[in-house]
This record gives sequence, structure tokens and C-alpha cells, in this order.
Amino acid sequence: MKKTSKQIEPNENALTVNNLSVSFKTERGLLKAVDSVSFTIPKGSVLGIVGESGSGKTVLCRTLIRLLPESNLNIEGSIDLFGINVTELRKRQLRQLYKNVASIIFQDPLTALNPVMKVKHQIAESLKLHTETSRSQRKQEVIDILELVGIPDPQIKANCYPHQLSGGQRQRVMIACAIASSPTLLIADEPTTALDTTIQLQILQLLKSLQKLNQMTLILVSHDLGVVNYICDYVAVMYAGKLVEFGKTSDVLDHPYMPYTKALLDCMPSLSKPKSHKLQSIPNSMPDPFSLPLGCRFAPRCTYVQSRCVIESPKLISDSSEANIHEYACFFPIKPIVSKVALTSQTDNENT
Amino acid sequence: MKFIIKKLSILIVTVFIASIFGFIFEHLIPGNPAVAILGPQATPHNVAVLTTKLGLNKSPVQQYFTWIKNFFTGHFGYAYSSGDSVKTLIAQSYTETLELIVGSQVLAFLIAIPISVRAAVKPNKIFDKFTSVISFGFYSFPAFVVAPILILIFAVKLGIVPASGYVGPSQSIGQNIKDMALPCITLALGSFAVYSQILRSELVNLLKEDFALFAKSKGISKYKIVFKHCFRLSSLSLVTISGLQISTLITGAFVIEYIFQLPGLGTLIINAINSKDYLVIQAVSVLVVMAVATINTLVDISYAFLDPRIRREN
Ligand SMILES: Nc1ncnc2c1ncn2[C@@H]1O[C@H](COP(=O)(O)OP(=O)(O)O)[C@@H](O)[C@H]1O
Ligand code: SF4
Ligand SMILES: [Mg+2]
Repeated sequence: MKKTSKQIEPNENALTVNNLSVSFKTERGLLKAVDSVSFTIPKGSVLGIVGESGSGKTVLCRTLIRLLPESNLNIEGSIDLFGINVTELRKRQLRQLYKNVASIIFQDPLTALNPVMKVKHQIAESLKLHTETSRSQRKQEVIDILELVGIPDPQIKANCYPHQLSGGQRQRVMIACAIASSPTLLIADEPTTALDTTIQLQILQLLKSLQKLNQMTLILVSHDLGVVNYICDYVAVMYAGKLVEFGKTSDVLDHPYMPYTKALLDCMPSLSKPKSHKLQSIPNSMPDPFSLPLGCRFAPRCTYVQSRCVIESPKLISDSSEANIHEYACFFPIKPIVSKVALTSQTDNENT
Repeated sequence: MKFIIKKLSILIVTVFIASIFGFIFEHLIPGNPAVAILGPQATPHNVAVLTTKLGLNKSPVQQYFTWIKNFFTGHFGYAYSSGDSVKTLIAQSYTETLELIVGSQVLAFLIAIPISVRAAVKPNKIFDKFTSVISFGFYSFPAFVVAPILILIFAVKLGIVPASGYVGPSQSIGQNIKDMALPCITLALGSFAVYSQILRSELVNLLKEDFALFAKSKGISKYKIVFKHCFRLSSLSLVTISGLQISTLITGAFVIEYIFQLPGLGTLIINAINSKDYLVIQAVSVLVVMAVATINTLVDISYAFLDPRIRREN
């Protein structure tokens, strides 16, 4: 801990990711699940990561805290988390990071919680590592945390096994495990996907209130833009391993530049503008990670595609016209000014 | 509870089938069972008394109940060759077999657990590959190959332990351990190979599961994840395997007893087969079947204690 704690300095930024690439060595060859991703978020903010399934959200999140087994993994670039250089941490320092700085919540609490271990032991495990307290004190702390995450009858539920709880309660238990160590960063990877819609909202509200209460930085992965709009300050849109749009939630969701973000929005009936056609999902699927398009990865599905998109890969660029950072990776962004260009390009494409 | 009752009723059915098998076996013995039981020295008077006592002139169902009553009160009859009571013969030899089986299994687990944990924590590294090859080797060599090699090295060349013979633990514990060392090791090697490979692959798979990754994200070390999170789950398959292994194990123990000339149940039954001592064969085999069935039932019931999910379902 000595080393990592010394590295923590007062800093406005919670997380700075620079040129981060993550590749798996697989039987079919190298699979680049995350490709040159860079972004920065301030302390205490909520970042939403969106994108279709397989776009690299989970890999990115887990890499941020080096949780993936690294025997077949190659990480390039840098991750600065509260001044800690995460990519350089050794095993022991990494454990200190988990104990004191960062926690994660998985999608499915049924598989993430140990089926043969009582709830109280699974929570106490995080507590014990974080603080040194007496047994009876720890018992009380477990009950307090269960109460904090909204579990009814915490005394009884503490003695239950995960399968004896409902889906929503199980997710609350996982949240309890994660916040037991009072983390400054909490990563929630699709925390509500495995739950009923009615319970989803409750869990999100819980996460939001805990984030405010503990002044945590929260990273929330979701493929539901409504959820992101509801609690996130920033949005990162991922497509086929690339970060394709990043900015303040209001900027990105109200004025998406990247056609992919717009297409995602169009899939959301509640958020999309009344005039836009309502798609259930974007036609066609993401490219095979082993044979990615040469140019823009979204080109095969993009309705704004032009010939340049097919040969050249767009870099993430910042919109200099605004005070807020709003970044996008697109040659022909959907902006009010250039919307005409976009329209003509579409007809161009139909001719060719 | 329902689960335990179900398992116990299966056990009762198995024991019933075994007893029928034993009863029929006794009646397949050539000649008058009374003569077979009393042996060649029997006087006609004794034969007549026993014939009535056994109820050989009664209906088969009545005879079966008499047989059951006799069997469960330990009246297995008398050995044809020596005239000794079968009960006495079994009482003299079962401790030795039990010692061999329990000793070898404890030994097998003691070696298998640390090795497989180490191998699973660093899979496909040198230690893992080395121990896989070794245990596969042990698995492939049958006891009658391993035993002479061990005897040659440890008894003949080094002279640390005797090549054969047996002194009971009540006479001399030190000598008893020496006598049992080689037989136990021989029997343990095969079990060790099975247990370590099962446990290793089980742990490797469990460590890939979400809950292990989540435990890692709490800051728990890999060894602690293995012992606190994975062990109880992997013990389920280990218990299953040891249950399935039990009949192989008994056969193995019998062979090893014969090789090391230990006066156990194996030697008893092999000698009985040689001298066509049917009542000994019958009693030992029915008892072995019942012991195997009982152990497997205990294994099934222990599941409920190891896995809380099963406890709820039933
Ligand atoms: N352990 C792994 N080994 C090889 N490929 C992986 C592994 N984990 C994920 N991937 C691949 O990385 C890509 C991104 O996966 P993931 O991050 O899980 O997507 P998302 O969370 O956005 O649905 C996918 O193509 C997936 O197949
Ligand atoms: S670069 Fe071209 S293909 Fe890619 S999103 Fe923009 S317009 Fe579409
Ligand atoms: Mg995912």
C-alpha cells in the first residue's frame, strides 16, 4: 500500500486513459478487443459506456483495474487512476488497489456471488481487507451495509446463501460487497441487465444515491441509453473496440455527431425525436473482430458513408467550437451545419 | 430430509438385492447346505440338527427370512476348509483391509491437495505439466507392477520396511506402520493420480468463473480464493469420485493384500476361492456390496452438507 498511497495526489481527474489497447492471444490470432481508447473523466463524475454487445465495454472496464487474467493478454497504453499508474502495478499493489480504491459490480449476481458461501461472509471479506475491526464490530458493519443497500431484514438475509435471495436482492448484495471497501471508483458492468424492468430502476437509483453519498466516481456500462441519460454526466460510445464518441451526456445524446450514436438513439423510442424512424435495432451486425474493415468500422452499416470512410480510418477528434469537450470519430459528423453535406453524401452513395 | 430418506431407501433396496443374491448363492452351492456349512467333519446328527435349524424343509420365503436373520446376527456359517466360524475369520481380517483403504486414501488426499492447488494456481506452467505427467504415469501402472518395484527398492535394497507380513497396531504401532507403508503407498498412487487430476481441472475451471473474478476484485490473493471460495465447490466432485472409486479401491486393496501377503479380507477371499470355501466367499462378497452401497449413500448425503443449493431443493 505504501507505494500506491504515495502515488495518490490531489488531482482534478479521476481517470485518464491514454491510447489504451487490449488484445487477446487466441487460436484464431490476435483479437484487439479495445483499440487505442483515450478519455478523461473528473473526480466524482458518472461515466456511461454504451455500445452493442461485443464492442469491448467489459474488456475496457476490467482492464481499467487490470482484472482480466493476463496470461493471454496484451495491454498497451496507460491508465492513470487517481494518480496511480495502473498498467505498471505489480500483483501485490494491484490487490491494494482493489482493497482501497476500486470496486466492480458484474452483470449477473447469480454467477458473481459464491453459491456456497453465506452473504455475510462474502461482504465481510471485503470489509476485513479494508479495515481492521473486531468480530462483533464487523458483524454490525455487515448488517449496516446490507441496510444501506436496501435489503429488508438484514439480520436474516445476512445468514442466507445467494440462491435464497431474489434477483434484485442478490444484486444489492453484490453492490454491498463492492462498496464495503469504500471505493473511490466503482465500476458497474451492466448491473441491471439480468433484472426485471421494475427492479432495474431501483438498483440504478441505489447506485446513484451511493455515488452521491460516498462521492464516488462511477463508471456504468449499459446498452440502455435511457439509463445513461438518467444518471451519467459523461458518455463514451464504443463500437468494435473503438471509442467513437465521447462527451457530456447532454451534448452527446442531444446532438450526436457520430452516425452510430444516432443510430443507437433511434433504437430508443422514448428518447428519439418524434420524426425519426423507429428502428428496433441497427440493421446488420458488428464486424468480425478478426476481419475488421480497413476504414471506418461502422462504414458497412452507416447510412452516411462516403468513399473516404472505406479507405481511411477516422481518428477521435475534438469539437473545437464548443467549450465542453465533445469528441467523435467520423469524417462526416451529423452537425446542423454539415447536415446538407451528409444528405448529399447519402445520395452519392446510392448512385455508386 | 426428504432427500436423505430417498437416499436411505435406495440403500435399503440395494441391501435387499445383495441379500437375495447371497441367499441364492448359498443355495447354488453343490450338495446339502447344512453339510457345506458344517464342513466335512460334520456328523450326520449335526447335519440333521442344522437342516432343521436352517429350516431347509420350509418354504423358500421362510428360508430367506431365516437366512437374513442369521446373516445380520453374524451367523455366516463355518469355513469348509478350516472349520473356523466365518464370522471369526472376517473379524480377524477386516481391520487390516480397513487400515489399508483408509490409510491409502488419507495419503492420496494429503499429496493430491497441495499439488493440485499449486498446479491450478499457475496452470500450464512447469509444475503443472510435470505433476500431470507424473500422475498420469502412476495412473497407468497397475499395482502388480508398482508393488514389486517398491518392494525391490524399499524392502530389498534399502531394507527400511519389510517386504511382506503384518503386525496389528495393538501389538506394535511402529511395526504396524512399517508393514502398512508400502501397501498403502501402492494403493495411494493410483488414487492420488485420479484425485489430483480431478481437483486440478476443477480448480482451474472454478478460478475462471465470475465469482472467483469477483473475489479477486475484492483484493483476495489467488491461494485464498482457492481455499475460501473454490474448495468447497470442488470437494463436491472429489467426493463423487471417491464414492465411485470405492469398488475399484476394494478390488485394488484385495490384490495388494495378496501381493504383500497381508492377512486381510482380500487374502481371505482369494484363499476361499482357491479352496472353494463358498460360505466365506458369500459372506465377504455380500458384506462388501453392502459396504459399498452404504459408503455411496453417505457420499450422497454428504452432498447436502457440502452444497446448500441441494439442501434447499429437497
Ligand atoms: N477472454 C477473452 N478471450 C478472447 N476474446 C475475448 C475475451 N473476452 C472478450 N473477448 C472478445 O472481446 C470482444 C469484446 O468483448 P466484451 O468486452 O465482452 O464486449 P461487451 O462487454 O461490449 O459486450 C468480443 O469480441 C469478445 O469475443
Ligand atoms: S466515418 Fe463515414 S462511415 Fe464512419 S460513421 Fe462517419 S460517415 Fe459513417
Ligand atoms: Mg459486457
